[in-house]
Amino acid sequence: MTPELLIAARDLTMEYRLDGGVVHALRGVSLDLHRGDYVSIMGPSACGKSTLLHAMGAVDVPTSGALSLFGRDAAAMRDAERTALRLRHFGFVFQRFFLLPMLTAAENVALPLMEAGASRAERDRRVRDVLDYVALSARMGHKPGQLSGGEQQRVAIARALANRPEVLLADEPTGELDEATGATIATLLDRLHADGTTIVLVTHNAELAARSRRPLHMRDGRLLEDRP
Amino acid sequence: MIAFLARRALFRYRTRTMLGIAGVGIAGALLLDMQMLSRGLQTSLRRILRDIGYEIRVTPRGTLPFETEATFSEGHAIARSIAADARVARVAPVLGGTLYVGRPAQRPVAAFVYGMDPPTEALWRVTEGRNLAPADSNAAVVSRELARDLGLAIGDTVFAARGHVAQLGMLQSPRGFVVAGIATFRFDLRTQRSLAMTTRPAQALRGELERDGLSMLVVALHDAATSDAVAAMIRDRFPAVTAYSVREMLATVQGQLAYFNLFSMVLGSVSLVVCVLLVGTIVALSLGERLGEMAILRAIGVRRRRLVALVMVEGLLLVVLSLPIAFGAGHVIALWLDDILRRAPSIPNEMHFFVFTPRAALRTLGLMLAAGTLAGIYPAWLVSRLRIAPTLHHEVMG
Repeated sequence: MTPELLIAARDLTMEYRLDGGVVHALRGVSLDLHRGDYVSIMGPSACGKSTLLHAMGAVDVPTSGALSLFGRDAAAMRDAERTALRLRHFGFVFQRFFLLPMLTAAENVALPLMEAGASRAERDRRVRDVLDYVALSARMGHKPGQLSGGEQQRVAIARALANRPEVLLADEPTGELDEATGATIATLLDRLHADGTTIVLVTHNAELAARSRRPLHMRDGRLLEDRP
Repeated sequence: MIAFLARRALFRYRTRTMLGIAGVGIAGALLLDMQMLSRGLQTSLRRILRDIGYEIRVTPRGTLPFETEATFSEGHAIARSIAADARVARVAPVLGGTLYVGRPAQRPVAAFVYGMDPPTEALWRVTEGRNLAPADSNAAVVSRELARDLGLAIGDTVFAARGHVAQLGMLQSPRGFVVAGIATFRFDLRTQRSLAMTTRPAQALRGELERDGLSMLVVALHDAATSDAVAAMIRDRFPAVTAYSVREMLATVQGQLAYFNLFSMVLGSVSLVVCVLLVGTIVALSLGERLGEMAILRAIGVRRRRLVALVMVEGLLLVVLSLPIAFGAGHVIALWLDDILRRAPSIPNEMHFFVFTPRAALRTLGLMLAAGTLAGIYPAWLVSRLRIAPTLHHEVMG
């Protein structure tokens, strides 16, 4: 039996108008993502990897093409619907962690739960659980500035997992980390996938990409293989 | 969540925020002072009139009480006629004017005399000795300033006359009064000397006895709500006088003090603009440094309107935190400025320019909160238009 189709993209294009002209970030990208997939997307800088990730995560709206997110037409969604989709169905991990520096690790992780309206008790329990999962419960009271890069990225992953997302979208999650720390994050992603989370990973790191079940490549806004 | 994030965001740069709060607080203090000034004299006068306890003042036509030394004739007859109205509880005749006052072997000094029947402590308050009794035709209550300048004590005799011979330093046809008490006079200027007595001797000294001249009648009513109607009745029946209810008198005074309103409105507006600019600058600066964080909050599913609310709350929080400074400093500055302004000539003892009232406080609070809201509009508009992907891209590339 084929696993449930979560995201279906057909001939996606994305254009940005800049002062110097039009940038074609995506040129006819088609991709299916099923529950349980572990997809990595590799490619040179500015080839459209992050743009594709943002489109798949309802962060950005493609200029043309068809994009179905959890059975709903992304183009027909209002901003509030896309926001709700990001909150409930997606977890985001970024290269630069993007933790709020004035909040502790626990408070950063609690943010999506607060937005989702979780009760205080539920929030505290879930924050402890996900920080335990990334082996950082001992540092939950520390602010980002008091944590190493690897620890900050683990907090960012814990934040992404807070609302039990179905899909984790990771944009260069090891880009700012040394090799050993990057390997720790890669192991954590493996474990997440083994525990049932669907993962889409954008990376320059060939070793990390090799750990995925579906390594894809992009160039000049196009996926080079894996046309559905 | 919004209050929590706003508080944390503001105190991320503690020193900058504290300086901003101090700045907004000082602007707020000036705003409070201007609210206190705009109606200060009127409020001060209303409090004095309420303390005095008479609802209507009757004065020579076209004048305010003691605005000039003009008098109206047949004063006691008018008083009796007004007192006959069923709505009137009592009428007290008052005569005011300048006299010369002295003691034997002392150079006379000019003083203001109040003649009043009955001589209640409406226009003065006895601080030493006793007040006058209705039959005290040979006793007087003197102001602290007069007692000091003439070296008067309770039981001493003081002489008063309408004129004096300057070359000889002698009073003309003086009349002696025993000092019964020393008092503070409500409407005296800072260095003014005054004395109070019953009406008849005051009229005799001022040459008003024959025409029964009076400066003012104060009228107490059974029901204060009838004051406008009774004042209108008095104006109709006695063309030589003008009658003011407290409300009418305050309105007339307010008209004469319009420049205070204008002055306070201009300075108040300036402080409000400073407040808006300060709060707006701090919030916009803070937002500019956190655009990436805002984008990430949007990316993880925080609603756009929540971020708009967050920015607005940051502006309001700055204002709320500055309120203790605004009200504390506002009070201190008001006391200081009031003291300076009251040193000006022609300002009665109990009048104040800056008067704290709940209305002034509420207006200041409302205006400051409005300033905080207004200041947050532009940064909130910026965050409402924030595009997630380009902002994150910019943050990563930058």
